Amino acid sequence: MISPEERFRRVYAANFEAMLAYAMRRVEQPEDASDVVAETFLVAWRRSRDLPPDDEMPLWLYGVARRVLSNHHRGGARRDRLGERLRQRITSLIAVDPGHEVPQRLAVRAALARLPETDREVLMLTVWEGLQPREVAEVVGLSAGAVRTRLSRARARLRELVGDDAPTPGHVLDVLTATVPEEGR
Amino acid sequence: MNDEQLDDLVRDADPYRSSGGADPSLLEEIMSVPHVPSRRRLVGAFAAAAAVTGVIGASVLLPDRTAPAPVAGPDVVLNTPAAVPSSVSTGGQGAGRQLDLAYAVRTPRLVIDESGWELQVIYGLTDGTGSVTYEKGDRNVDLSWYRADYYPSYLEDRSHTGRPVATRVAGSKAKIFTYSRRDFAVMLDPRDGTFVEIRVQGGGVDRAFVEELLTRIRQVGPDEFLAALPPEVITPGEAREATGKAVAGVPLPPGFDVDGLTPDGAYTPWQFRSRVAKGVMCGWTGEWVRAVEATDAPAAETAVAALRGSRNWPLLQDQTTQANWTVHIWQLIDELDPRKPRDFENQLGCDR
Repeated sequence: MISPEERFRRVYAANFEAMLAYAMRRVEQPEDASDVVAETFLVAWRRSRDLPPDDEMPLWLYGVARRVLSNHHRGGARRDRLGERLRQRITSLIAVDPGHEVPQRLAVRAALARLPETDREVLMLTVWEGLQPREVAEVVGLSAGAVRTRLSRARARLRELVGDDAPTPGHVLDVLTATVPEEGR
Repeated sequence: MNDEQLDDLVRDADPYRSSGGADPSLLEEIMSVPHVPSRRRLVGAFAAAAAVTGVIGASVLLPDRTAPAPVAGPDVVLNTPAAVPSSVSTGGQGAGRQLDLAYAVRTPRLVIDESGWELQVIYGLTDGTGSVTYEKGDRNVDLSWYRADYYPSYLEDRSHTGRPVATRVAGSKAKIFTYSRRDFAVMLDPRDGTFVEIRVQGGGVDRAFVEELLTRIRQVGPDEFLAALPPEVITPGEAREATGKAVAGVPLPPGFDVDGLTPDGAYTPWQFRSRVAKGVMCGWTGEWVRAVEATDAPAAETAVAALRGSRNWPLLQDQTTQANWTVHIWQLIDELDPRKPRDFENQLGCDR
């Protein structure tokens, strides 16, 4: 039987990328994702003797990260001393890739930002994290049926915002581009 | 635009781009933060001597980079201090005794007034953090104390397990959290810059058992606290001499200050020696950094060779059976890049 410390190392290695992705998709400043990732894994570390089975770990971590992110958005306490090197790494990644984003992407993100919070989260968990409705339900604390309803509503609203035409290469969606934040700083 | 096309559009707008894998420095940072104490067994040697007393503990195996700043801490001892004659207690003599008392005064001194608990691990620092683990049969009690400013985040974390039940422990308000049918955590309110958490687990442990146990925990004076420590525990008054013995046969970097290695606090032997070992490793790593920056290739090779030779250091020879830390460190040493001493320094968690 592996020790809790070794188990935690494996959990960290297996889920780090997914947690970093989850965080970076949801913070305004990408480097702030290090706070979310650090705090999420810190919770897991403190629970390293009581972690769920491996197949349940990703959803459990998403749930933790969601709560951490909520605190982050509320300006809650941050563990500034943890994750500093990760923050530097993220910053350097961004510096290397200044992110000449395609305007279409910026427009879609702006449209996403206009969705109700839970609807947006349901859609992002579905498309970006690749979760099934029952998995999304577990992360956000809704029934699978409610998730499907919200997913349908989110898609409909997003379609309204970006325009119903299927996108074509080079086409620049005209949604709220003037309010797009400085993505990728 | 159908759902699939819309999802493709959203997928394309994903702001995340692969970062190149898990970040090792964050992992080490997190694992150096005290967490819910894990059950660690010290092989036989300490069990017999500590038939009665326990001191609390929270549990990092080694000094952590994020160690809180010095503050006063709670002292917790479990068991019947009166049953442990001072003649067999641990502690320094003369000036060493004064060091021990100064340490005890700054430590939360809680004891469990009940016989049969055997101290397995103590890791009590002078900065207001520490951990003591006790076992009695298949029951396990960890007493850990942390800096008070961690209290809100710990409380928030424990609150995920459910609503706590209010109680009192040794005159302090406390909250009982139920982790599972046989696993409870009791958080005492912060006092004097620290807070204590008591974890109770094992066969036959239930809420009634925990509540009964809590009534037996009391705070004692510094003398009683020190008298309750089993003789194997290395206290501040004994630490300097113990450090000298620990480094016997260990190659030291040029100009290395052995006294600077002496851990601050009270430790069971394994926790003490592993701290000393880490100090020496950091010393060699610092020498390696210096040598690389000075393009002193022979010195760099010597430093790396010393680190690689740590498997043979006497102070690490008898702790391998329980030492996750040594297994991990030796893995890092096996994988180190001789051109990148700073990377290894970060992984080891050395202070600069």
